[in-house]
Amino acid sequence: MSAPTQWKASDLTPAVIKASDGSIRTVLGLVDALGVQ
Amino acid sequence: MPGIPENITIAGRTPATIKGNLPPLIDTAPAARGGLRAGDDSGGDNPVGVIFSDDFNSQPDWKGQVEINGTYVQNPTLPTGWDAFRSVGARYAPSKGDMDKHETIEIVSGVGSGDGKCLVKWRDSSTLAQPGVWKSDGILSKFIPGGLSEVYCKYGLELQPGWTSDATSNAKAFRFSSLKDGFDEWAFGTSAERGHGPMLFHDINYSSTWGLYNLAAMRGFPNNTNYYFGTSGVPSGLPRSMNQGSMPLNWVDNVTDLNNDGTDDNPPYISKVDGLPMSGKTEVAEAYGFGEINIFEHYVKMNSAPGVADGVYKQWINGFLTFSNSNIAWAGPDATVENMPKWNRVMLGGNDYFPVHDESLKHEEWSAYHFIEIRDSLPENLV
Repeated sequence: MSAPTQWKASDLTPAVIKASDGSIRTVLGLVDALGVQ
Repeated sequence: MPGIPENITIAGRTPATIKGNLPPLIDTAPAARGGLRAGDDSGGDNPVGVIFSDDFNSQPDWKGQVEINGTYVQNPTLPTGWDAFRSVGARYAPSKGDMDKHETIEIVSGVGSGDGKCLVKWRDSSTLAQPGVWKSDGILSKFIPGGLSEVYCKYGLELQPGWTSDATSNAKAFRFSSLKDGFDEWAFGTSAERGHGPMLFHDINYSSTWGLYNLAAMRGFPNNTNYYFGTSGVPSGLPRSMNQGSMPLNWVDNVTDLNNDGTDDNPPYISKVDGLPMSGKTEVAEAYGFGEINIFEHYVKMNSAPGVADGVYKQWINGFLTFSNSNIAWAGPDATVENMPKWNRVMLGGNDYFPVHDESLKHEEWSAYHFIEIRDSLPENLV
């Protein structure tokens, strides 16, 4: 069995980052793919 | 390898030294076993060359929760000293209603050997078809403002005893990246995120056919033309062929013959099971053991100019050199002197391909990061 290698652009996922001003915010973006790296 | 036996208790830390600028030699048991000097988590008291370290013991308990049952968590927190995280794709977790399970990443004590805290990555298994296969995406990211031309990272990683070892599964464990200013600063790196590149991924993968292998995945710059080394070309002197930048490195001749010229040029990796040089199909316990802290070290150096094949990637696992190549054009010929990238992201974790256990079992497995140290160059013992 081999790993699938497709990603879907619709897979927007939340993440949390510290911005340059030090504030912490939640953003949406592409998931780390479905195996693509 | 640093060799303080597990049955020796390290009860305290040595006193601070000159004006507090030099850290004590020994901080925590994991740090000592990892050969680290102590340092605080801000980088302010770290030894020369160390730009960041964390043994997670000073962190408050933390769960990587962003949403609970579809509702965003208000005021999510970041672990102290860290800059970004993603924690999505848990199948079984408190945020999914399974209160006895775990979020994809968390910082807690009580998981892994020893008494200290760890960054714990949980992978959830399900045999259900897509989208249930690549899940458990937990990443903790450290930013390096301004970037570096070379960067080294060392961390201690322990796999849960009984880590599934007889079925195909992939676990992303680590990555370096360069992210261009002006792009999605939260991004963690895929071919679809045009600001990323170059990157270096390391995965702990298991094939039911081939056994355990090191997946070293190298990605180039610019992202839109050279992500899979389309313009740089395949580096010379690799231990095996590269497929779109990725190499499923074995533990046998890919270690002993680093440049695949037919002559052994490197000591073999020694099995943790029988103490003999690795041979044949490798099992997880042979490489990593269970209940042991494995020391991973990764070092990358950017090539000197666009298209020049003098970039570096070196990898050590438990003190054994397991990959070394100095012919990498991380930035391809279609880069420019003005936009040469620098390494500015170091990340632990990733997502998992783990379609092994039936959904009804709600099977989780942990891997525990005991410490991390990031340097702006190789430590002296590896130069």
